[in-house]
Amino acid sequence: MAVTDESPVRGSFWSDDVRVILRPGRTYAELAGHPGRGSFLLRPVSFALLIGLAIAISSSGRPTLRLVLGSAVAWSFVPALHAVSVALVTLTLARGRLRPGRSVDLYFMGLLPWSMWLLGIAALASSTPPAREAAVWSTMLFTAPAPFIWGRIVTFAFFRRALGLSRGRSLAAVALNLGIVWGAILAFFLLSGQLWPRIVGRG
Amino acid sequence: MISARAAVSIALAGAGLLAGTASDVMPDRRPPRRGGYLVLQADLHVHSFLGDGVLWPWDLAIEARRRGLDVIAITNHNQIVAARIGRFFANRMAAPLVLVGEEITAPDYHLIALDIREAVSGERPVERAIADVHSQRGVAIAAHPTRRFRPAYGAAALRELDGAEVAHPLTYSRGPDELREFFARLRLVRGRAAAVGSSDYHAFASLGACRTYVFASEKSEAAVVEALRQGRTVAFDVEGVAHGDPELIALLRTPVGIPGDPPAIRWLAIAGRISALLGAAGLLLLRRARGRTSLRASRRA
Repeated sequence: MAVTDESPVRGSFWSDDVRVILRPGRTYAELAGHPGRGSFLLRPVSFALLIGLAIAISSSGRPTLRLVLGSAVAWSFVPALHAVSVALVTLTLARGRLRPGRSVDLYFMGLLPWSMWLLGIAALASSTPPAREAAVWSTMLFTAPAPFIWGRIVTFAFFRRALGLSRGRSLAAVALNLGIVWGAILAFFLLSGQLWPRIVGRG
Repeated sequence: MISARAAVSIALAGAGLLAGTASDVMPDRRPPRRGGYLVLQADLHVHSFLGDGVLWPWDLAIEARRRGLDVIAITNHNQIVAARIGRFFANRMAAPLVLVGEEITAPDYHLIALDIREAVSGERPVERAIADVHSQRGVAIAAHPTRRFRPAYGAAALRELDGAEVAHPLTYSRGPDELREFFARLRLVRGRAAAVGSSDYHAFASLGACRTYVFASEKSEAAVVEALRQGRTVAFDVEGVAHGDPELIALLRTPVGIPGDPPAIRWLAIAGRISALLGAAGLLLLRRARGRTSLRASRRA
């Protein structure tokens, strides 16, 4: 839900985020040469608000400020982990190529598949009665690989073309990014005793 | 300068939030009194954030009120931190009672512990876990005791259990037979036992979809726990069959209605969510800035 874009391409109907996920290599190369504007926090905060919106609509059937903001704060660790992982890669593997803030801003454009997936699930869940909720869980399970794989492709292009890393280093950066974000989330659920029941049985 | 498309998207998202917030009204209801008891509606198996649920504990309490619940138990897996937080806030808000609970989770059983002070370990047989719950003066309820979990519950465990879930969302797809059979076996061994309906809420809109009607002397945690211990509950399974003490079922006759939004509020909520979703999608997908700089100019900058 970020409200800025800075594409130097004239006349495009779609946002830079759409262009990034459709032509990641070319668009990232083009945007990396542009200084950018606005705060680098805008897209991470927007992503947190989008998570809050999806949770509010799917839980309550209405986007109340209380639920949107509360859930955005609760789940803000997700965009925070993404931002930290990208800043780390920028500072360690791609020193000097881009400012970490700019790097974070460009990276978050590539989360559009997840954003649209979240909105789709929220729309589906809010119109599904509790008796058929299993269908929503199944839909989540079977459709999640699409934004996951698409996101990995876009992230690879980000490291390769925006940060100018070699193919090998880009793959290493993707693995590091994946490890930090999903590793931390898995560790949280394992340490808080919440994931084990999912492994051993219905809970 | 933002584009007209962005302005429309922002307006849609803002209008959606306003409509959604305006539709955030709570039903005004008082629990009915039947046979000298208050009939409280309870969801005794709910997960919150800081566990594997999506909502903060206080938001759960508020959503429970919207769904006409008088009592919820926050029962995260193997911990009671979120439940304590929920109880703290609920005591300070016009929210339902929040019982501190835990879903004691072991490979061969899941057990709901209610009104406990310390988390109970699942690394021991179910009889020991039940004894630990009782040593804290808590209540132990078998969680979704499907055939898979049945071998863990021997006669000794059944004698000590306070109740069992007989209505649970998994029966929407699997049918009610497995939970019915377990509850029948429990009553055979124990006599009176609490029939419990729970949503096992994690996300989406199922909070309170399955619920327990608790016949309590008053609206307090102690009275609810006492009613559960005495088996003074009724639950309706997915086929609408009532379980529990026949006298209480006769008192209740039909499920006390679950309140829905008045039509105007319902449509406001629907309009709010459609508007907010469209606005968010517009902001993500459509060009947001109006003035374009050329590639060369931007590089110079």
